[in-house]
Amino acid sequence: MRIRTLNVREIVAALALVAVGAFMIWEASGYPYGSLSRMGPGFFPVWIGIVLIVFGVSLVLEVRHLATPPPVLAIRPFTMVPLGLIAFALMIENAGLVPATAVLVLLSGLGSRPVRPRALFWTTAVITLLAYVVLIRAIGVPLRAFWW
Amino acid sequence: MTAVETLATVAAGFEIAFSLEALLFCFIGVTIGTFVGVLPGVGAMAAVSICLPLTFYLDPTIALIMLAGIFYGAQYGSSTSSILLNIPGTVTSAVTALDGYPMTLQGRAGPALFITTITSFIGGSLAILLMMWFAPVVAEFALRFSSAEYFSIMLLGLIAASTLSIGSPLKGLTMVVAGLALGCVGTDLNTGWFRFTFGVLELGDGLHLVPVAMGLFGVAEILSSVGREQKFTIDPKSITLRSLVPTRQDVRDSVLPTLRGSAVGAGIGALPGSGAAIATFMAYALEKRVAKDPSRFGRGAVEGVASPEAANNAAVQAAFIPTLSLGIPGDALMAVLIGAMMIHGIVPGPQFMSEHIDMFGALVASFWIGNVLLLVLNIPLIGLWVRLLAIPYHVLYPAMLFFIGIGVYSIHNNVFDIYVVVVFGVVGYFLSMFHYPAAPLLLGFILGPLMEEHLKRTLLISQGDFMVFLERPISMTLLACSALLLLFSLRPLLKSARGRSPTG
Repeated sequence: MRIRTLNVREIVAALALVAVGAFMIWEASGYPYGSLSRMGPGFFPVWIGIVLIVFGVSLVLEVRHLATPPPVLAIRPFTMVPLGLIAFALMIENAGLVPATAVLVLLSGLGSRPVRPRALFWTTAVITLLAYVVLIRAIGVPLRAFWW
Repeated sequence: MTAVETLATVAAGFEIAFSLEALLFCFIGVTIGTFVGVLPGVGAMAAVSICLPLTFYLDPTIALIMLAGIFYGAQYGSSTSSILLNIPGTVTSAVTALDGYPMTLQGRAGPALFITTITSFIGGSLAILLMMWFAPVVAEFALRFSSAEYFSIMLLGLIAASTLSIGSPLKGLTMVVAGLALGCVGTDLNTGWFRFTFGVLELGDGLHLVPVAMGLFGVAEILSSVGREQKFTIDPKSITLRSLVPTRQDVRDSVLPTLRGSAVGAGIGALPGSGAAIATFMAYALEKRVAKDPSRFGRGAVEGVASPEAANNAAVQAAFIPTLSLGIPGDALMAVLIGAMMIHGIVPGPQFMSEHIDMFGALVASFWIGNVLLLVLNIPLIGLWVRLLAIPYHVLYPAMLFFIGIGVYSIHNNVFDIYVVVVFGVVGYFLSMFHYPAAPLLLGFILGPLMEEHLKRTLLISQGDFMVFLERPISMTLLACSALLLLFSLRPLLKSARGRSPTG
């Protein structure tokens, strides 16, 4: 039998699931386990953790020699889109809907390549304006438009 | 319920469905559905999640009519970009591109679009008929179910959802279990014990469905689409009403495939746990097998677009059967719909069919109206939808993110839910990168707490005796089906574990 290379990425992904299962058992072993006829809060999670480990280990066996091309991480959208949403979450209640929306659209818009400054500006302006007119003026959601 | 009673229910339903408000929101729903269906990178799941907060102000029946409209509307729209651009609008029309795009290259985009719309209508209509007749029967049958049967049928549903799909069944099963794990987060119902909350107050009542779904399907989809934007070269003026008219031969070739596709779609869709995507693949495979000349497939065979499109619409409509009559979602989309119904204080299941029979009637009636509306929206107005494809993605996705952000926030007025979206967006992105399906994860997450509850109840009554699951005939049948399905789908893996070299 010829020696095949190990698909490290796939193995790591499967092992991550095994780790989740192990963590579940560890955490839920601190909960009351109960008995079969009167299950405690720990019963179900412990067994889910065990099954997850079994499946995770089988997955390692299944994928260890897979010849899939390495996945490509699109780093720009991967950073800018979550950043935009986090900024939105941080700002919406304090800074107000208008700045939060503008920052969300601007930041997440920077995620696509190439950056088109004019298109991005107009996208931001139009979405922010619509958000203000529709949500604040027309529907009257209980949110501030600005921080003042 | 007899057939006459069912007809009377639906007839009464038309009275509600023809009210101005119902018509308006049915129209809005199917229009949004077509819109997101046409656009690649925007799924029906994200659309429903975004529209969910908007429906809080509506009557539950109207809200359901609108949300359901998005579901089946998306099936109509999704074939458009498959055929014209070779980019499926949603997964369920990936198969349509196989023969639809070659038809476009041959200058026959018009007939392809026309035929998919008509077969969508036929598939949808046949499945609605099936649903009218079947859903009340199932519900009546299910009234006799105890916790043991519910546990077994949910188990079957989860196994079906993860193994009857495209890709590795083991990855699907693992995702189901991971979903069950997510479902454990929150307060234990019986004891009030905090599980996996790590002192975070917001996790006390568990992870909320909508932010998890929006992250896994909305944000993750955006993350993987932004990287690979494509330039569309399509001339909207080339799709005129006249160019739509199919030839006599096209029509003759599509009749039987449409009927076969509808049957496959309705059958698969009605099973709990299996969705429209797999139905289209099966319908296509069936056509290829029965065809006199299978080599035509992939080179613009009209059967290759007629059958899968009939199948996906039939499957989407038939998926309402287990959803409404058992409370068990057919696929991840239905799971979100169940979540929506629960937010409106309606619990789907056998009781739904007896207590809210008027709602069932109205919903079925609205399906008929919605499908006719879609016919109108998709044939004379096709040029409009084609033009939509010109909207660049770099304008679209920031807008979608805004809708996701504000939509999630407004459900509970809680910033924490936006962070949940971010986390599950990243998780979903990694999952799709390694070809782990996200739909079984969501199904497990939703059914997990219910399964645990039914398991507890069953074993409480049987005093810890597991045999109760095998002693009740319905439960035993369901478990036997589950075991067979599991064995069948894991067979290749078991073989390779015994030392024989795997072929993959």
